[in-house]
Parts: sequence; structure tokens; C-alpha cells
Amino acid sequence: MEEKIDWGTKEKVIADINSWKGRFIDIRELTPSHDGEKIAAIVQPETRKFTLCINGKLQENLFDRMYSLRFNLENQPICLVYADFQWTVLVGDTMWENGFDMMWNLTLSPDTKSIAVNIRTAEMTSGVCLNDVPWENTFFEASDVVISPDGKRTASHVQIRQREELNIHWFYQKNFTVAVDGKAWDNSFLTTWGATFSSDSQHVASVVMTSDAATYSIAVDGIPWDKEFSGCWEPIFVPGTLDVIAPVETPRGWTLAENGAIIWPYFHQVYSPKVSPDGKRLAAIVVPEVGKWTVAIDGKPWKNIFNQMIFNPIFSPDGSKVATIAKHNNKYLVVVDDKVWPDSFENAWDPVFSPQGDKVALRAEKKGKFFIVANGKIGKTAYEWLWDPIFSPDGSKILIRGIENGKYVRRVLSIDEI
Amino acid sequence: MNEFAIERYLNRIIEEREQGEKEKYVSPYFPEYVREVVPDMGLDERVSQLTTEQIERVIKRVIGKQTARLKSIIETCMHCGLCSDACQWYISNDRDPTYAPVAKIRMTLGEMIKRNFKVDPEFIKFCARVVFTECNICHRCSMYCPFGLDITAIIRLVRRICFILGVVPQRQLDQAQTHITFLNQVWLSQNDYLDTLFWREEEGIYELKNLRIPIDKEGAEILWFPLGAEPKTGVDHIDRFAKIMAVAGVDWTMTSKDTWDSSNMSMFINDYFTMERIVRGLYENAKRLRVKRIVLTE
Repeated sequence: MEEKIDWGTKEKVIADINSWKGRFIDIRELTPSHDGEKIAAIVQPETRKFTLCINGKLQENLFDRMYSLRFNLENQPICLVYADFQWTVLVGDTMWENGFDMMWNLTLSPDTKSIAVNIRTAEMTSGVCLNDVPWENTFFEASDVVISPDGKRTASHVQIRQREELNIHWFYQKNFTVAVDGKAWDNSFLTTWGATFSSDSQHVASVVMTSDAATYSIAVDGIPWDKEFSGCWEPIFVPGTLDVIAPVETPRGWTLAENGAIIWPYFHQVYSPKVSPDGKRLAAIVVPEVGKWTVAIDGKPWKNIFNQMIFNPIFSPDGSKVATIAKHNNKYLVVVDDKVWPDSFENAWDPVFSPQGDKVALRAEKKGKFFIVANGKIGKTAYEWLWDPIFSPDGSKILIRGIENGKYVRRVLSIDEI
Repeated sequence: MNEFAIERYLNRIIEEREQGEKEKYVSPYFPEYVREVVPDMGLDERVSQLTTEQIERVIKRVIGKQTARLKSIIETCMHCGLCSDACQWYISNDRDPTYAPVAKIRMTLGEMIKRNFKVDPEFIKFCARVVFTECNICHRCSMYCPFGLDITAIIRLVRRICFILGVVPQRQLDQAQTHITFLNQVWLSQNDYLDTLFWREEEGIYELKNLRIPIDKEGAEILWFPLGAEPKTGVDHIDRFAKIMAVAGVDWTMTSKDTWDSSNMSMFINDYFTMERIVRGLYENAKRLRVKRIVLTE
């Protein structure tokens, strides 16, 4: 998709956002397209009537409610819209044929060609609608839809029996499970969450509460591991395999388990495991001592320990590097391979690797202004707001999308020019 | 409890007093423990489904490796009575010794250890009544103990045993179950929660022009987590909060994702992992939205 991005034009001022403020009652969810050529927002041109404003131009349709605006890689806006007492999905300027009582959790496939949304029907049952095709089966409740990597399948956590108010026995009937493409797993559980697809889109794993209200395991395609734990966090599949890894709590502490077997040392806490794209390395957030956070790679914690918070570890495309953001002494720090960049920030977003993995860039806030920070160097330009930077396919340039002096600008700069 | 329910409750108490003595419960384990009979589905019905073996397994799971330490805490007590004078239950029940904190731990966990974890379901019901309905976990007894014995911690362990066995007063168990399944204390589904936010924004504009309830606003100064009851039964609190933020000119947002409820009722039954899920969920929402501060209703 990056080929469609104009990497030659150094700077374009796309829209004067300040001028929008005088035109509309309010401006919501200001969102740029992937190629940076469009800036869109949900705007309110008249009281309680909403539409999209793209590069200053209003779409014709007015809606009563709108939210979850984003762009696909074809640079079309996608948004949940509500009019005439029905929700539907707006793609570009076309609406889905199906409408529902409620829609939420708008989710795109990795190539953004497939759109999945949780739905509530007029009969007050819930399910999923994928690319304007609703599941044949609906359930008493559905939540947290996930979409398969190929964009063809969906899964959602579902409630399979009607709840009776204050009937405390109901819970023990195991009323929750995962439904895949509308079909519930044969096994149900006390509760489920954290469903995820395998890289081949054929299998689903989820955290499940099994025999009593303090016993958890991981179920793959509805079959729980033969080991149970006092806690489990969300599982992940190892790319290209059916192996499932999840943080688990044991009497010795938290660790990682693969298909039920312990594979890591023990920590006070372990969560957010990530596998490198080649499936060879494993990173996770760990707590080596109470109130201290760091990242461990293949079970070995970094030497740098942070005293407030750490964000999810992010692998470079070749799997050789790991970057993250840490909060330490009320400042946000960028950490790449256990090395802390010299500057600290008031806020910092997820680091982005170049396709070759040799460069890292991100957006960060300092003294109330936003800057692109690349390879440890803070950019010269202060913005009023920024979105994540995007590297060119050869890694030589960065597409910057930001608000400067009230105007939305797109810039293409080399790392040296930042 | 609304005002009508309170009125009904008070009327019932007055009626009962007028009618004379209520039926009494006398503990088969401690004859000096005499109370009024209070029917409760969570205690009376759940207990009938337990077996002695199941109870033994759960007690071992909860206190297994701590048994010697807990036993020494109970046996270190020299009955000085300072914990009793710190306990509002003891004071407000004519200094009945069965309300004394040390009596509560001896009659519950102490007895479990003494019987080598082999206790019957009726005993669990008795324990649940003591730890859930005759102790507020205020911690004053522990603060007053000259040896620093953490009496409350023991009460909490007994609560955990009862929770895993499913023997908890109905209302409290119901709240534990909704936190486990919906991560909020009112069984509110994701779609009902979001629907409510849209509805309240629309209602709010009649009192404050162009009122907005921002959802998932990245980089906002404040992320507000309401109490579960607010989007369920106190819906006007949502637009009131929005009005305050609008007038104060605060950059704020609410999350569209689960763990929007700032309450953690799982704490009262020592459901450790759900407690963690709730706290982690609040922080994950703050991390995802890169907000500067979290504001909670209480």
C-alpha cells in the first residue's frame, strides 16, 4: 500500500482546521488518511446533526450519531453512523445495506479490506456483522469482536443463556463461550475474554474461567489446556504454528506457559507477550520486584527498570530489536534494546520501526507541543498535534502528519531533515 | 436501597418487634453464638451443593502453605480484649464476646485448622455469616492489637474460601459475578454502556448548549471512569459530569472499552485475579488513550 503514498512532495498544507472551528458546532475524531492526503473529522454543522468533513468538504448525508472514524489503506473513511433509529457502517460515501439497533467495536483486518463490528439486533440479541453480512446466529450478549488475519472470519465472546436478575445460581451454569463465524464453541465457561486468531486464521484461543471462580485456563477452539491456573492473561499464537502462549499465575508467581507447559522464569507479574514476526523471540512486560516494570526477552529481563509504567514491547520487522515506552519519575522515556534515549517527554506514543528495522521514530509531547522523535533525536518542528509517523518502504523517509499553526500538514522528510 | 425499600425494611423491623421474639439460630459448633435467622439465597442454597472434600480442597488452596503462620497468629493472641473494644460490632451488641474479632477468627479459620480442614458445608455457612455480615473489614482490630496480629487479613482469607465455594450473601455474590463476567458491578453490556453515553449527551444539550461526552479522545488530560451504577441507574450523573468538565474547560474523555467502571467489588470477597483484571483494565485504557490523569467516581 505504501507505493500509493506520494514520497516526492516535501510539504503540503491540506486543510485549515482552525477555519473549521467557526463553521461547525464541534469537531470530533480528527483523523488523517494513511497517505496523509486527507484529513477527516466528524463535524456538527447543525444542532445534533453530524457528518464527515474531509479536507474541508462536507459529505451530504447527515446523521444523528457518529463515532469510530478511521481510514482504510485505500484512504477511504470508515465510520459508524446512526440515523432513523438504526446504526450502520459508512465506507467512503456508501452505507452498508444492513442496519442494527447498536453497533460497536469497529474492527479492521490487517489489510483494512474487511470490516467487522459487534451488533445488537432489534430483538435485543447480539452478534457480529462482517463486511455487511451479519452472523446467522445471535446471542444474548456479544463483546470484543476479533477479526482473522485474512479478514474472512470473526470471533466474539458471547453469552449463551438469558440471565435472571439476582439469580446467583445462574453464573455456575457456565453461560459464556466464544462464537466463531456465529457458531458457539461446544464448551462453555464461567467467563471468557481475550480471544485471538492463529496466523492461518483457522483457530481461536481465549482465556476461560473453568471449574470455579478462581480457576483459569486457555482454551483453543473450545478445548481448555489440561493445566489450570489462578490467573491467565490474554493468549497469543506463535506465528505459523498452532502453539499458544499466555501469561499464567502459579503458586511460584507469574510466568509464561506454552500449550500449558511453563516456559519462562517466574516474576511478580508477566503480561502483554509478543512474538517476533519470525516466531523465534518472545518479549513480555515483567515485574521483577513490586512496583518496578521492565521488558524481558526470552525470559531475561532488561537491566533498566522503570518505576511507574511500561508499554507493550514492539519487535522490529526482522525481529532483531525491541522498542517500548516507559514511564519513570513522571517522565516518558523511549527504550530500544534496553538502551534509554537521552530525552524524556510528557507523553510518548508507540515507537514505529522502519521496514529494515534500523530506524525508530515516534511522536512525543514536550512542553505542551508535539514532536517527531527519530533515532533518539527530537525533530525541529513543534506541532499542535501529531499522528504516528510512517516510514517509506526503503526506510529513507518519514511521512509526518500533523497540525501546525491550526493547519493540517503532511511532510515527507529524511531522518536528517527532521 | 431506594427510599421505598428503606421504608419497607423499617416497617418490617417495627412489625417484627411488635410481634415479639424472632426465630433464633444457635450455632451447632459454638452454642454461645445465638443470632436471629436471616434467610439468604447466597448462604442457604449455595451451601447445599458443597461436599466436605470440595471444602477441604479449597481451604488447602487458599491457606495451604500459610497454615503454620496463621495458626501461630491465632495462638499468639493473649485475649487482652483491645481488639474487641476497637470493634463496632462488639460495642454495638452489648459486648457479646461472640462478636469479638478474636472470636471471629477462632470460630472460623481457627476451627478449620483445628479440624485439619475437614469441615462440613453447614460450617462454611456459619463462617460466611460471621465474616460477611459481622465484620466490615475496617481494620481497627488489627491496629489496636498490641502484637500487631492482622486479624482482618484472616477474616479476608475466610471470605476468599467462602467466595471460591460460592457461599456469599446473595447481593455480594451477584456483584462478584458481574465483575467477573462484565467487568462492572451492574451487569451492563458493552452496547448498553455506549448507548447510554450517546443518550446522555443528547439529553444534556437541553441544560448546557452543545454539551459533549467525548469517547476515546486520544491524549486527553483526564480519563473519567464512572461508578458502575452511574450509566445504569444514575444516568444523569454522566451528563452532570460532562457539564462540570465543559464549564471548567477541562479536556476529558471516557473509554469505549471494558473496564470503564471504577468500582472493584471483587475486593470485598478477595477475588484476587478479578481485582487485578479491573485495575489493569483501568490502566490499559489510560495507556491506550495516552491520557495524563485518571479520575474515578467515589
